[in-house]
Amino acid sequence: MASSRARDLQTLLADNQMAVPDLFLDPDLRTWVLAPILVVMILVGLTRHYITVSSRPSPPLLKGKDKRQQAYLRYSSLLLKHSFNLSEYQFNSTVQALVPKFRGGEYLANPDSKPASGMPDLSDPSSLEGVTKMARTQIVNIVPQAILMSWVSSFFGGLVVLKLPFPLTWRFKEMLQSGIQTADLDVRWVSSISWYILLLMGLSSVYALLLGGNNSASQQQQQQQQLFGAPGVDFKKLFSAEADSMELATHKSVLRGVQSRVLEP
Amino acid sequence: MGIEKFLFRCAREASYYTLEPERLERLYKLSSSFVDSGYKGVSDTEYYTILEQHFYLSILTERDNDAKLALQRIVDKFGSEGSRVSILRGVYAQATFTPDKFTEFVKKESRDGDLATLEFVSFKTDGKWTEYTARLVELLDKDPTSGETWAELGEIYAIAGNFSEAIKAFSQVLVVYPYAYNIFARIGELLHSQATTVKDGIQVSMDQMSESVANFCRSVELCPSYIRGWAGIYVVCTKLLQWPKLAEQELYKKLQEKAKAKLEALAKKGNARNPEVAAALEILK
Repeated sequence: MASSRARDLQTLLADNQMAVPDLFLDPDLRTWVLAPILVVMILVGLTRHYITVSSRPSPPLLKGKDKRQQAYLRYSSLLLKHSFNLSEYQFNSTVQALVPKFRGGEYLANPDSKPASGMPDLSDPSSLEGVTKMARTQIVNIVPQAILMSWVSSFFGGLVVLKLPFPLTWRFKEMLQSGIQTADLDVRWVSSISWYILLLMGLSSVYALLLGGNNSASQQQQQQQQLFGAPGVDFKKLFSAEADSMELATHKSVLRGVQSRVLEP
Repeated sequence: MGIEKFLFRCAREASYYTLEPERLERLYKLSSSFVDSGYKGVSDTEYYTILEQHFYLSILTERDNDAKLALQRIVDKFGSEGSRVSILRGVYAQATFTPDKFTEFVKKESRDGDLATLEFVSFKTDGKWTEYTARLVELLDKDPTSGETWAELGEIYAIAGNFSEAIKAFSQVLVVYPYAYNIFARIGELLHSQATTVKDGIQVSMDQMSESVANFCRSVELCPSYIRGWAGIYVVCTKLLQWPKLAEQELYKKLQEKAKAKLEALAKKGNARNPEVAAALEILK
């Protein structure tokens, strides 16, 4: 009798020592806070993807003169790279025919264009178009974020929505409990605003699963594209540089000594 | 290998241009079973490359409706403006319209001479050589990196007997495709023809002959089993050796022997019905 009572006491003590959850989450929090934020975030990502896909301008078609300009640049680099296939006379005559034309700008698409400066020129309609495009994508990124953030903080502000199944150090408190001023709450509890921020950062792999790898649901890649927009290329300089390297090129034919190379066992 | 991978490989190699009718028909059936299934488990690039091939297969096997459908799908995706799409539309128009209507179509739709090639190939079949050559030269002025156009120009010059211009044109092919061993052999053949017709005295002819041997040598250096190249070496060396004042007798003697041995070995390995093998046997006699 006495021994069994002692055992009961022991188990009771053991129960007391075990970490009893200090908070109980209302199951309604899961259905009415956690899930809505998740669903809304995913839907916003999908909508953003489809908006950017449908508003993406088709790549500009190259006009005949642009094509010709590109073709001659490609040709001169091919000529330099594979000059060994031409005889010395052929190579020299080709170079002599091309160099004055390259210097004279005969193959330029816009011979009168000014050299492009670093900053986009606002009076030029084509660069203005680029600027408005940049602004448009920025708006597509920022507006839904601002709206969502204020939605979460006004409707669900100050709520604790879930408990992480693993312990964390106190450093994570700021990250996981933004919006709650409770100094000694365990770090494993996550507030609603932090849940929103975690989703903002971590949904990209979900989008990749839903939309395929190359999607525009999350905003990171888009911003990179904006930063490295087409810089102004000065074709006049490119052509004269090509002319220089053609003039300086040394020539050696591949046919020199080919007979003995073939005869080698 | 899945059917889509096979079709994609065929499309990349553009093998439909050279297939014989029965195999073309088979490839068409395969391609249409893939396209009709609506299966899109491939990347967009692969799907539209296969669809483009399906368009050409339909045109080649005289199935205009299928071609129209494939073309429509491509236009839906890419718009009708780009040069690749307008060439497809031009090909469709050429296959289905009357000649007058086609000329009208080209006039209306051609941007920057996209469709010019389709139009002026008829000059060749009509035998209007001067116009044809002029249009080729015009095309090359627009895009000197088109090896195919240079090769076509070279062939035209060769037919006209203007060997030096033909050699120049083929050399430009080598600028674009540096390891095209067949082009080296072709230049060798042209130099040989030039040497046999030239009236500048025997020394010039001999120089051209040895240059020809060098070109053939380069072609077999790139492709050691190329019968045409070895045959060229054999024939031209034999001719060179008949000239008593030849400087490097020894070298050409060795080359001729090596070419002969190679030709014999290749002829033994190859199928006698292969025209190249037959030609090699003919030369060796």
